[in-house]
Amino acid sequence: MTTTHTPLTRAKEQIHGDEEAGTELKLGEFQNVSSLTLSETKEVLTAVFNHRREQGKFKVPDNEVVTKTQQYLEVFSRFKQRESVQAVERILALQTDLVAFEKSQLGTLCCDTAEEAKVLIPSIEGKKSDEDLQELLDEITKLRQFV
Amino acid sequence: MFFIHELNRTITLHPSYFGPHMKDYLIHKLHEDVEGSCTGRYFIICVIEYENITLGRIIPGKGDAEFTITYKAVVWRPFKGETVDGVVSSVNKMGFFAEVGPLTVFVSSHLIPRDIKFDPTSNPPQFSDNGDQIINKGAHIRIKLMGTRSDVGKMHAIGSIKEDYLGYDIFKYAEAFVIN
Repeated sequence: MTTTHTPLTRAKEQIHGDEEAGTELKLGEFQNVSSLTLSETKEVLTAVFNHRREQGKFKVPDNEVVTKTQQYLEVFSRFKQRESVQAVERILALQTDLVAFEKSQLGTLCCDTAEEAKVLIPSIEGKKSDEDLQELLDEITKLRQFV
Repeated sequence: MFFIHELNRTITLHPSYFGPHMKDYLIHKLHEDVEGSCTGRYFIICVIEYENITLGRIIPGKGDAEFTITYKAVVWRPFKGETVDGVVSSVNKMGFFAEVGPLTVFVSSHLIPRDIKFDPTSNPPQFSDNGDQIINKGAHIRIKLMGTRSDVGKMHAIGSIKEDYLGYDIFKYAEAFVIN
């Protein structure tokens, strides 16, 4: 027989509606959740679906949302080879001054200049010097050529 | 932005399902219920794996059992202020619609730079600055999300291309075709 613990306090109501990814990242329930670049997401979905097909026990979802998402990832993921995806992840993992959301945006948008990155990802402003940011972007761009 | 999020789902099973394949049935039901759904705030794309399935609690007065599954899933959550890429799906004089993954984003003509105007004479209709910026169906576009609205099972969003580095960039996206 199992005993279920009744909690002594009710969980605090989360205030929704003011989430935004502006100069300050207010991500609500996603504040500390690990994020993925488009290329990584494509790898994860491919791995999960292949595993399901091989195992045969569970079906691969067949609906509009999943199909549209897969098509979108096919078009916009910048790194097509698994090695380059992993290399980008290694480079981004070394950036301890940026949070997950910013790192994933950098690996997804593939900006050319530090100026562009700061405009498209406003919360990066101030976290890195322009030279360091440009160096990071150049390393990511180099990996894009290896197809 | 795509995330790997840990979520919970409570599934109630009729007693006819109690048997050796109960767990498989629960996971199958989880996939069916949740994959490809929209909570109004985010889309659940795919379940990766389950962390825990509680023991079934028999509901007093009925024979059904309630299970709570904790699982990890790939989730897509759009944020206001986030920069995303999309594909233009339709154009009219009020603006254009672009598909960003499972979400359709509307960019109003007010949030399009003034030099890119609606060209009603061209076929298909497009927004153009009579130079190299041409926005028509199928064009790849970089948008900043200005706001999202939730509905039951659906989400709507509006976006802007009025800032620097947004909009249509032939050089950036041309490479996507060359490499493929």
